[in-house]
Amino acid sequence: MTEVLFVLLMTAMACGLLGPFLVLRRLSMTADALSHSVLLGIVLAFFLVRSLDSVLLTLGAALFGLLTVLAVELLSGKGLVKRDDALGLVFPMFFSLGVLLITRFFRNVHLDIEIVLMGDPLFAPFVRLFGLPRSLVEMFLLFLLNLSFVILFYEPLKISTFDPSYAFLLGIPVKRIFYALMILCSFCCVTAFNSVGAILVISFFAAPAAAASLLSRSLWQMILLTLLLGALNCLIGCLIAFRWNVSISGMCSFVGMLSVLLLSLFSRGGILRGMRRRKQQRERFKEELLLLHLYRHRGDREETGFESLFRHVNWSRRETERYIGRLMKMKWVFADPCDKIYQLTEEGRERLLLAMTA
Amino acid sequence: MTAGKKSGGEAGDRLRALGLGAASEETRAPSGAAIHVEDLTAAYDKKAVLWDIDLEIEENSITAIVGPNGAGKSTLLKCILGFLKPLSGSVRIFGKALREVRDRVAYVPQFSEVNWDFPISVRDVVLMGRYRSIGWFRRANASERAIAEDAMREMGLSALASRQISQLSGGQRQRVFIARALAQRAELLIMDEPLAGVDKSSERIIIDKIRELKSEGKTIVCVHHDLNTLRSYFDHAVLIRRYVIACGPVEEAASEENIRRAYEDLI
Amino acid sequence: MISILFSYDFWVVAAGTSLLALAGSIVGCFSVYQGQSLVGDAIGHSAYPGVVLAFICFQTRDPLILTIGAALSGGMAYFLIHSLRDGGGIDFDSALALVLTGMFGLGMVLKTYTQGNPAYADASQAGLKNYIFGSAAFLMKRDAALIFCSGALVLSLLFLFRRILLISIFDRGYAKAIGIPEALGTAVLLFMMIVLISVGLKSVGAVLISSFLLIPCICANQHSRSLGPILLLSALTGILSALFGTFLSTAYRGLSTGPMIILCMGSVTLLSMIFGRYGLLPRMLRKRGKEND
Repeated sequence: MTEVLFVLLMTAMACGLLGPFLVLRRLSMTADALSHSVLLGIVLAFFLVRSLDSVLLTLGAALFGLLTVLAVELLSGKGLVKRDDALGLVFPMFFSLGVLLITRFFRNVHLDIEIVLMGDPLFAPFVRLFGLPRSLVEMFLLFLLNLSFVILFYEPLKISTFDPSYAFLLGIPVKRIFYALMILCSFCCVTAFNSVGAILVISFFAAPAAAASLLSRSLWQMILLTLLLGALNCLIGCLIAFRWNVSISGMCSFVGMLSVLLLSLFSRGGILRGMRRRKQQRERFKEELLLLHLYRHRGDREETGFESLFRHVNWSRRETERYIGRLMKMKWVFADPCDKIYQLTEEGRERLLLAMTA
Repeated sequence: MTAGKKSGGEAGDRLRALGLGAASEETRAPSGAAIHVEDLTAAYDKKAVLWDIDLEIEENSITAIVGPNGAGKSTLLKCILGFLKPLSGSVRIFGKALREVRDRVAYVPQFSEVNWDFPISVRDVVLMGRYRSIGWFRRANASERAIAEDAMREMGLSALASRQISQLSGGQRQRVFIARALAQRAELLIMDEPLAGVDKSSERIIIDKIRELKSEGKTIVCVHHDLNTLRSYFDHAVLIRRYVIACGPVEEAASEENIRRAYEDLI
Repeated sequence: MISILFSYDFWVVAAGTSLLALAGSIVGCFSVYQGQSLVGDAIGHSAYPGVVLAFICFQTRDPLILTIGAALSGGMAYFLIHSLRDGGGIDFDSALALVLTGMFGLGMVLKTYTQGNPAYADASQAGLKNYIFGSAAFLMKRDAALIFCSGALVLSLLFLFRRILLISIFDRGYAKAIGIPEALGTAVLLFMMIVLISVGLKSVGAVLISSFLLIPCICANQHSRSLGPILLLSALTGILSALFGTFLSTAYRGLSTGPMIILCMGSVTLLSMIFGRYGLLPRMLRKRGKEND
């Protein structure tokens, strides 16, 4: 059980290094497409090397992932289709072809389509290398590769992520960096296919990074947070999955989605705070607007009268009186009893000036 | 106006300098005006865009809504057309609420709101102007089609009727949208920047059409950008900069003083 | 091989898949122009947990009940995607990927739960597995009837709301100005997409179903730029691919129907991208023609 957890954690770490870049460049669905079409790569490579454990298989399949991205870029670059449509055309085709080849030719080989997509981490410890689960070793190597890529190319990666055209002006090879990112991504999908499954890889790319994007202010913060949250998703997902004896990969992806949902509800820029902030903002606007109205129509018995003001701003009488009450409490407005109108005080006028020049 | 005296003080002076003096009195009663806006304040999530707008657009006029970028011109149109619910105030069109007179109002949208990838022919776009009278489910009959054909001819589009909208130039596209508004046979035409990105000959056609519509007794309201053509193309103007700076006949409203106020950077 | 054409079972499956392809390819055109092409993919994956949950709750494999489960969970996914994007500060692309993987993960969790639970042991697990990759070969008459009814429902909705859809997709501002509620067009289109996706889940599978909506439209776009011909071509591509794909998969053992159909659609589309009126080859010829002038 612990070994399964370690394999998952290592996968989360390896993917977590690339996740922030994929999320910031809006490439999560591209990674999803890539993970599906890698299936065809695996099948084709298997035709040649006739072994599921060969390094050549990994290399071949990863190159095929890159081919998918190239195809998408080619189709959308020629203006034949929009990028989203190109994605939606290329990956189902490759995936279908992969499925057909498997079902027609490899019925008896251990290459189950369901396992490729969903994976089953429970099998991971059975294949061993240097006394450790093979997937763990592979993922660790991949982690080192990704880490050195991110560290070595940190600046160009950062600039080309946030401002591609500026990066281009600086002479940064934007295209090459994009493809490098994609091929590393492709390696992650291939390596993960027989341990955790392709779908979970996407979840490991997208979920912790999206959650981290809600919490962090700088890129390195986001990367660290992604690693942390990825590990946390893994832990929680694994514990629940072990407890109820359900799909580990599935649980981890579900926990990943839940974590982002919760964060987007409750975080600083989140839905709940946003709603409250919008409400406060509306109330402030309404106060300022009353000030302005009273100023512009100062002395007008109809427009600012006790009995008629609410009709002019087109609110209910109760609401109007509530706001007027607030303004009077702030000493910005006073009620003129002889003309039966509301008027601004000098403080009210200053407050209005502040609002209008802000 | 006893309160007028009390409006002194430094804050009062600076408010007046912003062009926020006392509101004029005549905007009170919803008379025969085509559009009557009273005490309208509108806001998006973060910032208020329009402050306490009072204005009146006369029937049978060609009115320009003018102001710098971010002044809230398009927002004002959105409020008039009911796309955006204002924080306060009210809009009356021909003295009534919008939903009662929707058939009498036609709208020409801004280019950026349109999905140009959609495969649709000029004829079908113009026919959209008749949808409300055809009904959503019935087939379009010959007389409805004839109205659409007329509208296309009036805008010089007959030769392009079967073309796809995506194949047209900016000026031709704008003419298609105006033809659609014409097909609606509305009394009030509201246009969001009808002359932006339009070539000279299309501009000519559009302006001639607008003048002809006025002579037929219709009312035209346009968001407009170009101050140079303001006086020659329009007879009324509304200057806004989040609040109304001036509203009235173009000669008065677009005075040097008012334009300076609308465009210069205050403070 | 020709004898297949006289087999009743073949025609049940073929009728089901081609009806699905017909409705999907027409509705798909509208969703593609609304920029929703990848949304279908997310809804497809997210419909899966609904199927399993409906199975757990009602302990039946009745296609109608499982389809309703799928539709509800697909609709929920759409809601989640939009709330993540609009209020939650997550961009659309990541929201799609997140919901897709999260909901599909939930589906796997629920499926393994039924596997480990003796209470559901009697219902064969293969039934649920079919909904992931689809197995048109097991399409029953009842499934075909469901597809027929939903297809008819969707197409008549499309016919009724054609003008509203047209305006809301082409020109949102104008739609509002003539009094069409902003959400109406989107809601109708979404409803049609979800119905088709949920119904198609069993025969094509959660992973590939969205392609039924997307690929025929891309293909048609290579040949025409006006709506009528595009809808017609799209429907033709869909139906012919469905028939041919079903035929091949019946004729050769081991070729799954869903992927076979997608492969047919895709191949036609790739050919269209080269030889179609707006494809690469005519474009090159036109360019050369211009240079020669």
